[in-house]
Amino acid sequence: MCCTPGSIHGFGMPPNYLLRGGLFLLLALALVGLAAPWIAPYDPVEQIDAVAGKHQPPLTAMAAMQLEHGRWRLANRVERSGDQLIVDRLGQTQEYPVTEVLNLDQNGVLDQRVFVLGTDKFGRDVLSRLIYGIRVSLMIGVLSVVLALIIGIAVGAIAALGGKLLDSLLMRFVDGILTLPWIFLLMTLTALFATDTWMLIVLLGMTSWPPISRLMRAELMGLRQRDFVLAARGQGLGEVRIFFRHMLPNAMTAVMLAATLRVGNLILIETSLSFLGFGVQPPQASLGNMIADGQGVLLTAWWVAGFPSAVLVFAVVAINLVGDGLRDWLDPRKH
Amino acid sequence: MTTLLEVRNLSKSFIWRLPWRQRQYLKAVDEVNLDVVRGECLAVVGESGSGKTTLGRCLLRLLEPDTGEIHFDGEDLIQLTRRQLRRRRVQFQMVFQDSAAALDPRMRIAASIAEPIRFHHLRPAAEVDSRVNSLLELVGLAASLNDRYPHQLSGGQRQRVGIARALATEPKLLLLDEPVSALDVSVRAQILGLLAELRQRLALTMIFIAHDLAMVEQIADRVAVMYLGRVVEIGDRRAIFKQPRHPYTRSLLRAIPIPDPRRRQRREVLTGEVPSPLSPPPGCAFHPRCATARKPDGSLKPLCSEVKPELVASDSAHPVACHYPTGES
Repeated sequence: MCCTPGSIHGFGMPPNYLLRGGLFLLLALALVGLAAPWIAPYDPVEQIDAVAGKHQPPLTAMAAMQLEHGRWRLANRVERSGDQLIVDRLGQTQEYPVTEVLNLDQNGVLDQRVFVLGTDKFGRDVLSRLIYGIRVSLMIGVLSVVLALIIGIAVGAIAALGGKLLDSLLMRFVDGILTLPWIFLLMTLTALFATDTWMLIVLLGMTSWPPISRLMRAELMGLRQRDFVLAARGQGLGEVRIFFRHMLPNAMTAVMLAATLRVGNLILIETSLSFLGFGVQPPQASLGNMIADGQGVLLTAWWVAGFPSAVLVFAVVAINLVGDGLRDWLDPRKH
Repeated sequence: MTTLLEVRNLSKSFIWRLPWRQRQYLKAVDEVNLDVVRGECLAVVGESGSGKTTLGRCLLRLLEPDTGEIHFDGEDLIQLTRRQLRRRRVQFQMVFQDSAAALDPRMRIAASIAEPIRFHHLRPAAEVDSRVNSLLELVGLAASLNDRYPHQLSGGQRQRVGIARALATEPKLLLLDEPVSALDVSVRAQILGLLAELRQRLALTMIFIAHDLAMVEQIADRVAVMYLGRVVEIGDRRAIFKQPRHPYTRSLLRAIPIPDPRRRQRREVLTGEVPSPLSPPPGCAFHPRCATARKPDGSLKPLCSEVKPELVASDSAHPVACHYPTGES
């Protein structure tokens, strides 16, 4: 049924499984992103003990002592002996008077921190950062595509239906934008204007609509010649109705597919920007700046960049699977 | 008998532009005059490229003709504003050749049929559904099909939907652009039968565009034959089939297969292609392919190769655009 060249369905697996797999993965990621504040075990930006907690491997459990002035210390082992706490920290044994530690209980066992996916160079919990990073990256990807869709559809429709002059002007403008090296353009723009995530979304949305507008225009140009549009005109329907009832819905199949795939693209772009230090600004976590944090220590602390990279791959693959499945789903002939 | 549609000197050219060439004009419809009488079925017959589809679309102003007048029910459609025209459109509807392309693939057929009724408020909202069902019934489809998508129907069923949609606005004139050419032969007969029946029941006036004469023999009252954008012969069906006057009409008639071998006649097969409408031959457009245009020694008759024949009627026979028509008494 669906064997266009380049389709992932060509691998001989029934397409339904791939679509379902993609949807499942994407939904799981979206849920993780949405529920981030409730499921993240710790505060993603909290540097509880940047010295002792630095680059701890996955599944490390450490004792956490609260000292005065809101300072915390992480330790591998804590034991109480009379008025003193004997603490294994950074390979040394230290003694703390019990009075200095605020979160003691009767047995002397303190709070425990479990770093399921390890910690980064500031001793921040990678799992918590990852959960928030998914939230931020997905939100940027989806929202900037929504913005790009709105602009792209409007520009494409105006170009296709607004007469030759307008068409030429708009399309030459689009050509112009497409010739710009987007990564440098975005680096410049984000460096100048991207003060927060919302500005970043606006910038990404405003720079990624041109391909969508082109596609929209091409679809509408094709549809204008189709018999059913002519038939609608022959029935005396108004141009507005013809556009919204017959042309737009039929053009949306291709546009929605392209937009879905674009979400994956934009997540990658956001990641690249953050990796280069221009996108989501630290300490806020995004998949990109997490990978950047870990790239220098790939051999010694692989988990810092490894987990966000894996999530990025899963997210982009899932989006592509869903995009592919969406094409079939949007086509009423394939129901 | 009054005329419903009067077409005067209708022309339509397309501009053919190549960047390295001067623009050329393709005269798809060239000074066509037609009258369609209320209640009749006029067939327009011609090869591909003869301009019959363009003519049809111009008649309904789905294409803007360059020059000419189209009087529908006494009103010149060319003079109407867009808004006025939109309201008029309910009175003339069209059925397309490719029923799959003519129906919106994302609309259930009931929605497609209901759309013009709702848009023009032809029925109170509460009665639209029953109207749709009765239209489906009228064209011989089960009302239970109304929630299907076009691709879920067979070609014949789809064409019935196309007809039902065209009839939804209760038009006076139905333009059928090769409505059965894309269908299987067995389905063809059913649709032609349906059209004949509908014509009777609804007192419809029809323009039936077809590319061969065999298709219109049962349904047409009159036949107009087109060649390269011009009407070359027009007359009653009997006259066209029994006494064709234009050599082109004769060759079209001879192209109809005759099942009885004893009645089979020697075929004069037309040689050559239709000349390019970009550079139509001078004089009679048909002369390069015409046997009548040649003298016994094979040279061309000067009249044919130099003078464009007009469509003229003689006292005793139907109009023909030929310098040497047959059947002159």
